[in-house]
Amino acid sequence: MSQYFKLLALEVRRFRYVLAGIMVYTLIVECVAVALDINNHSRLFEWNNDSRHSFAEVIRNTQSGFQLAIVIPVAVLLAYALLIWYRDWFGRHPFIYRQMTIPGGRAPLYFSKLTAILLFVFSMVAWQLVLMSVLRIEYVWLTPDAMQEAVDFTEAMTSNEVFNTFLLPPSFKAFALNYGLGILLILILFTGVLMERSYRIMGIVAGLIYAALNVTLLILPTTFGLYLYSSEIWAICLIVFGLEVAAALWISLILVSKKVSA
Amino acid sequence: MDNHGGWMETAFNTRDPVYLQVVRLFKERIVTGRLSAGEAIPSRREIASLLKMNPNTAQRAYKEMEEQGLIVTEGNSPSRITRDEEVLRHIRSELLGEAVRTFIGSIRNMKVPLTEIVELVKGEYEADVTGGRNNGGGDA
Amino acid sequence: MIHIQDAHKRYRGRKVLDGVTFKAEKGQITCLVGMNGAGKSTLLKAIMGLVPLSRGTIKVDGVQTKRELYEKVSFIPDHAAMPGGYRLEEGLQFMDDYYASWNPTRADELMAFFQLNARDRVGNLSKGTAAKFGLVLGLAADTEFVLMDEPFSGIDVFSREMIGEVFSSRLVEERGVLVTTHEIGEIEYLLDRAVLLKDGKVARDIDCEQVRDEDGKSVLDVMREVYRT
Repeated sequence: MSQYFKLLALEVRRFRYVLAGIMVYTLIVECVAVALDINNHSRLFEWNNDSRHSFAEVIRNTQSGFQLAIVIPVAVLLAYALLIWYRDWFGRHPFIYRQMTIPGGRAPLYFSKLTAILLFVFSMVAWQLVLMSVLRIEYVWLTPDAMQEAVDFTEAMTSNEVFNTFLLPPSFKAFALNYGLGILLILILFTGVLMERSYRIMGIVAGLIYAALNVTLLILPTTFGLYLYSSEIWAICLIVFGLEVAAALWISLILVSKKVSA
Repeated sequence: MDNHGGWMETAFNTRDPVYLQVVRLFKERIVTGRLSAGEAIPSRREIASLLKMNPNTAQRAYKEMEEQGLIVTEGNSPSRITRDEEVLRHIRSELLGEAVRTFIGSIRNMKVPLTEIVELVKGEYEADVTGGRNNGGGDA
Repeated sequence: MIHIQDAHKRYRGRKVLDGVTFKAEKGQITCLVGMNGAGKSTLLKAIMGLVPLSRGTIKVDGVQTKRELYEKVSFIPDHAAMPGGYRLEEGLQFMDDYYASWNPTRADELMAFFQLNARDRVGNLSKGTAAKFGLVLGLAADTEFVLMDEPFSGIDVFSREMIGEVFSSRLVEERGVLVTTHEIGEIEYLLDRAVLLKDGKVARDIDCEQVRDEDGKSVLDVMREVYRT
C-alpha cells in the first residue's frame, strides 16, 4: 500500500511543471478572452448607454475562448495517458527497469499511474472552477461600473457551455455519463499500452480490436429502443460499463504482472 | 599484520588453477625470505581482497597449504607459516629443483658439456651478485 | 540458489533460449558466457521478471513468487535505470525508499570508492560512470543474489580494475553472483563457474578451477572449443 502512495507521489512530482503549465495556459487564455469581450462591449456601450453587460453574458460570449482553453489541456492529458507509461521505456536509462522490480508487485505501479492521470484531470476541472471566480474578479475590475449588471453567479456558470456539456453537467446522470466514459477511456488506453508493451505489433492490433469491442458493446443496447424501455437500456449500459471497467482492470493487471517486457 | 604492504597485485595466468598459483606465491615468498617461519599471514578474506581474487579460491589455496603443511592454523588465531624446518627445506628444494629442471630443459638440445654449464652458471651468478650490490651497475 | 529449468524464449521469430537449464549457487560467482545475442541478458531479465519466458521455470531458493524476490535479488543492467533528470543522490534515495534491504552506509562507501559525485545528474554521466553508479545501486542493498549484465562493456581499463576489485571484496562474498559477459579474458580468474551458451542451449557448464586442474585449460580455451566449431 505504501509503495502505491510513494509511486503516486513520484508520478505527480514528475508532472508538476507540465500541470502548472497547462493551468497557467488556461488562466491566460480565459483571462484574455474575457478582457477582449469586455473591451468589445465597451465600444457598444459608448454608443448605447443602456446596453449593460453582465458577467453571465461575458461568459456566454466567450465560449470559443473556453473551448480553446480546454482543448490543449485535454490533448496534453490524453497524450500523457500514454506517455506516463512510454516515457519510462525510452531513453538511455529506462526507468521501467526499476519500476518493475520494486518489492510489492506490479499492481501499485499500475494504480499509481492510473490515479495520477485521474488526479491531473480532476485538478484541471477544479482549477477551471477556481478560474470562474478569478474571471469574475477580472470582470468586476475591468468593467466600468455603469456597464455592470448584477447576476447570480450560477447563471454565469450555466452560461458556460463547456461546463454544461462536459465538465459539470447539471444533471447527475450526465455527470456520471461524462466522467464514467472518461475513466473508461483512460482504462482502455492503459490496456492498449500494456498490450503493445507485451506483444508489440500484435499488441497494437489486439488493442484496437479490444477498444472497438468495448465501444460496440457499450453502444449496442441503445439500438434496442424498439424492444426495451429507456430505463432498461440505461441499466444494461450501466452493467456493460461495469463489466468493461472490470475487464480493463483485470486484463491490465495480468499484462503488467506477467506479460510485459522491459 | 605488516604484510599488507607487501602483497602486490599478482597477475594470474588462466591455465593453471588459481589456487595453486597462490600456493606457489606463498612458497616463493617463504623461500626468498619475505615470509618467515612462524609469521602470521592475512586471513582468507584479506588475501582475497589484497590479491583481488575470488574468496572461494583463496579458501581453497589455504586448505591446500594446510594439507601440504605450509601453514598452521590453531583455533581462532590467524594462520601462520609453519616452523617445521623439514617442511621449509622441502619447499626450498622443490622450488630450486623446478628452476633447475626448467633450465636444463631449455638447454638440453644445445648439447652443452657440464663443465661449460657450471662455468657459465658461476659467471652469471657472480655478475648478478655484484650487479645487485652496485644497484644494477655495469659488468663485473 | 537460482535454478533455471528448461527456459525457452522466442524473440522476433528467433529462438533465443531453447531449453536452458543451470544453477547459480550462493557464495559463488557464476558467469554466463556467450556471443552477442546469445540470450544472456534475456536470462537475467527473465530471473527478474522483466521479460516473460515462453516456457520453463525459474526458482530462487525454491520459491517462484515475485513479492519477496526483489529484496533477495539485485539486478544491475547495462544502464543506470534512473530518470535522466535525477541526481545520483535522488537515485540513492529512491532505493532507500522502496527497499528494506537497502544499506545507506554501504551506499556511501561505494560512492566514495567509485569516486562518484552525488550531485551529478544521471543523464550527464559517461558510460563508465553510469556503470559504476549502477553497481552502487545494485550492491549497496543486502541482497542474497546479484545479477550483473555486461558490467565491463564499453568501460575503460581503470574502471574495469575497480570493478574487478568489487568482485574480490567482501561485497561479493556470501552472495551469489551471476554475471554475463562476452569478454571473459579479464575476469576469468575470478570465476567459480562458467556456463557457456550456444544456439540457445547450455553447451558447457564447468567448474573453472577444475578445468584448469584436470585439463590444463583456461575458460577461454574451452570457449574456443565451443564457439569455433
